[in-house]
Amino acid sequence: MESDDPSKRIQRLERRIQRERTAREEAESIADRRMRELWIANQDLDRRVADRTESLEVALEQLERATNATAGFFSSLSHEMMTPLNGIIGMLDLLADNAYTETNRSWTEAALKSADRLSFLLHRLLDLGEIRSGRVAFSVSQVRCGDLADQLAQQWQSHCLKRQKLLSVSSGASENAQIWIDLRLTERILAEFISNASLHAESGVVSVEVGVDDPAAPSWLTITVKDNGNGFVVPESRDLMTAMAEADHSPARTHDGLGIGLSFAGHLAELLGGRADIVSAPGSPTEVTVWIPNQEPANEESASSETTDAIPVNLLL
Amino acid sequence: MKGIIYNAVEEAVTELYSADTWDDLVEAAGIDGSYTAIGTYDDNDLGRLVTVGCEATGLDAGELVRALGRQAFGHLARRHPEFLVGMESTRAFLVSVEDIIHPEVMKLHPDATPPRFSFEDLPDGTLRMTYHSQRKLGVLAEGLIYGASDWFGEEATITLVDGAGAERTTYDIALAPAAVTSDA
Repeated sequence: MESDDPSKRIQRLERRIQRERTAREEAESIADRRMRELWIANQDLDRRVADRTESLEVALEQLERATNATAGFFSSLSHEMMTPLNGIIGMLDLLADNAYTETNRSWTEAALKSADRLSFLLHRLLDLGEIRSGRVAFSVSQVRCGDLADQLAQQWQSHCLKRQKLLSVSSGASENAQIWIDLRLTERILAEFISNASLHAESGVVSVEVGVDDPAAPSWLTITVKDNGNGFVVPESRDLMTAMAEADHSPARTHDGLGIGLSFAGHLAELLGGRADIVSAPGSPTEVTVWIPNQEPANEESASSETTDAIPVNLLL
Repeated sequence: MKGIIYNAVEEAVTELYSADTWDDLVEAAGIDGSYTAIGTYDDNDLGRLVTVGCEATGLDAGELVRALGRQAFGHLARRHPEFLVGMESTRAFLVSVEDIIHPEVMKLHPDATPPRFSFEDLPDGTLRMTYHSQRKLGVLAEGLIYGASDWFGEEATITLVDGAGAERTTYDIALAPAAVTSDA
């Protein structure tokens, strides 16, 4: 028997070992080849990802350039239009005050009204450009609620009266409360809502309530603007561009750029760290509450006016 | 054919006979006999091994391949336990081969050409399975199914319906819990 012969037995075992060794070497060679293929595939993927990323970056850059160019164009155009428009408004004012006949006066006032509306839209475009450019100047100061209420009454009384609307501004229990806010931007937010309310109020009443959450140590300034008009569908989109695209452009619309103005004011409130809650529906009165946080500086010296570019532009675009 | 099948056959021969028998078969078949699981080898190696195996054992080719397949299942199961996770019966395992196991094999071995299987449930509860492969090794699949039924503790009765030794072979597979054997 072969297995009884030690030398044959050893030869058999050696052949077996050789087969095992050959199998192992082949396995190693296959593994090497696979690793190399994997490495090459990986390099290829890396290169493709880098190429695609570069293409996307170039496309993004082109898009940003095109967007900035468009924004720049609209901003320049708006500025350019403001100058002659101011001239027209000034002259119309003079004409209205010196009209020879009642008919002349009513025509002039109608022209003035249209010019005012155009001016309002142009200002809104300029505001939009400022926010889109990512540079909004912040200036925080301490404001007394009672003073803010008086200021709003002064600013908007004649505007409302011209539209046969009665403006009521109160600060109630918060009259003497003091809070740190950006007055200019807060007023711009309120301008949207108060002018909106003045257009809507059917029976001629617009009420504004200025208050704080806690008069002794306020964390939030709250301003509620109410009208008793017919309400509207609150735009769902919080995105200004979408709001603009979705704005009602039909001849049947009743108010210009409603969605844009509300979105704009809402975003401004968010820029200040607050928000604007709008409660309205067709056929119901509208109530808007603007929440602005107390921005008391840690160090009073830092309360000075400053410009920041830390504005999240993607809030709007 | 993938090396893992040759590894399984080698282990089956070693378990059923001996390591020396495998040596003898390899030498008598005149093949290299060095197989690594991830390699791909000549299909004819199996034919040569079976030819010399039949001469050595006196079994016919079908019986030998069936017996090797039955024994080889355990090797495959131990080598790839992940394919048996959650499997509780031969039937569940069989129907997963086409949809789960072979797609996984193709991920690791894009050059592999595994057989295809199609199934049909017959009214009496029998599973009709058709094997499709140019290798014409339906009988090896048959042996592996017997091995799977051993693994799951079931008793398989496999009846050839059509296409013995062809590229398309149909079997009826009846599965039942294994009969309890008692020495009492």
